[in-house]
Amino acid sequence: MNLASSILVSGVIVLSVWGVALLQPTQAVALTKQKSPTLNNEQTQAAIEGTSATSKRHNLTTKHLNKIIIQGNTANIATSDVTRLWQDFSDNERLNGNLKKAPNAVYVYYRNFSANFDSATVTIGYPVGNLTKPSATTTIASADYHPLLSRKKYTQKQLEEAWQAIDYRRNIQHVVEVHYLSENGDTTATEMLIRYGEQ
Amino acid sequence: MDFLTATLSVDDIWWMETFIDDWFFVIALSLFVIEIIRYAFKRQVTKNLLGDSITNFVTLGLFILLVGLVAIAYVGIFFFVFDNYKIVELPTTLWTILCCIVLADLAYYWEHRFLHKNGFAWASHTVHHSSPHFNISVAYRHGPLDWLFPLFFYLPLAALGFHPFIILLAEVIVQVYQTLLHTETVKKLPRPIEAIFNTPSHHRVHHARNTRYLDKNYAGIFIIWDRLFGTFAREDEKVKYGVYPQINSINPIKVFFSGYIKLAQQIYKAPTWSHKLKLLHKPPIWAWQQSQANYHKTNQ
Repeated sequence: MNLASSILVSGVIVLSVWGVALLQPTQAVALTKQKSPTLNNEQTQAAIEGTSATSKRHNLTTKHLNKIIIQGNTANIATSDVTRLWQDFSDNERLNGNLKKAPNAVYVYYRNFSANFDSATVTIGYPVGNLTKPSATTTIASADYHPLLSRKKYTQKQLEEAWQAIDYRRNIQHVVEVHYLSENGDTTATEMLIRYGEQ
Repeated sequence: MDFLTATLSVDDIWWMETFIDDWFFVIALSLFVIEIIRYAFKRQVTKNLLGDSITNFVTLGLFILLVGLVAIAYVGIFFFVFDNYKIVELPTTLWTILCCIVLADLAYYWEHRFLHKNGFAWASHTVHHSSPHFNISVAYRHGPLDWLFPLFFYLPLAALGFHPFIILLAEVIVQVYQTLLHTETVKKLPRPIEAIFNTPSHHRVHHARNTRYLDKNYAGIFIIWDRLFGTFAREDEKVKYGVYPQINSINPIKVFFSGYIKLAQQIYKAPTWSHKLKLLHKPPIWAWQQSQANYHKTNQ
């Protein structure tokens, strides 16, 4: 093969291998105290009313999330009380003492929403890969999700607004928030995903 | 499969890189001792072999000194490109590392081919080829600018979104793999391995000065690059190691700077500016052909 053809073939190989690297299934990892957006009844109602418009605006593609096993604090709580769970999570010395290294993300997993979305089962945790002796874990099943927020840095207001973009008329199965962290534990970006079930 | 896509911290990757780098050196030294014992049993240990081996490790020391001076700038350039010019940001996972190793190996192939085809680059790389012996210590025989050329070939990986520490890890893996190839102890490996991977047999061919073996087998880990691009040669005649002309010295300083001293002398003696420039960018074989032509002209 002459030099020009060799260089050309190398270019094709580079693009192919790079494509394989780009197409890998993503599995984010999960610390720090983070204020979670909460909804009160008025906000929920407003969100339901505004859904038609927003869901059209947010005609988003799906994102596949691989199975992720997390360990942290779980509670059946009012969605307006998630801040308290963050506090418990932050104060969980046993969990934090079990960390192998500074985690680069924390997951917030919402499921079993009440009919009026007032309450849900919520887990805030780290992926078990970051822990030395994982126990009492929670599995976020592998599934296709609709992105509510793509991975970026957001203000608290933007995070709260994301909840209003949910189509509350549909069967909401899970909401997953991923807060990506720096080495110092500061949030560098947030991603928010929702899984709708069958109607 | 989850382990392939689990996110690794940058610290993990840095730890892996230094762990491989440090411990592999210990393993290589142990293998070198075994090789020397083997030579002793075959009554092939000579003063020149021992002196040459010590020279190899001294050139490694000199090389590390130079790398120490430029290391921060070297890594800084990767971070500069990664932070400012990356097209995407790939996750720090084992999957990404594996892809990066394949691409780093391909980059190594081209860098290595460049080192053999460019006069200025060859002046550094010739040091590695100048030993008349072939053992693990030769893998550590470095030239003064051996740290510079990889930069240009690996840097595009940072623009493609590979984290600089992943690139450095891949670079180290490609390098340590090849260290093991510098041996006469291993003859040929099973055919499927010889077909896909670079092996001691393939690398002996690369270090040969037999005419039919010149500029062959540039591969790092995968010999498939040479097979694909037409630079492959099979080991089927006895290999004579070293370069033309032989350096005939075990003085580490002389060996370390031999390539650039020779290049400087050639440039000094070159008749025209065009000739001087060609010595810098043309393949070393061109300089040899010119000197042969001159020799014949003056003797006619």
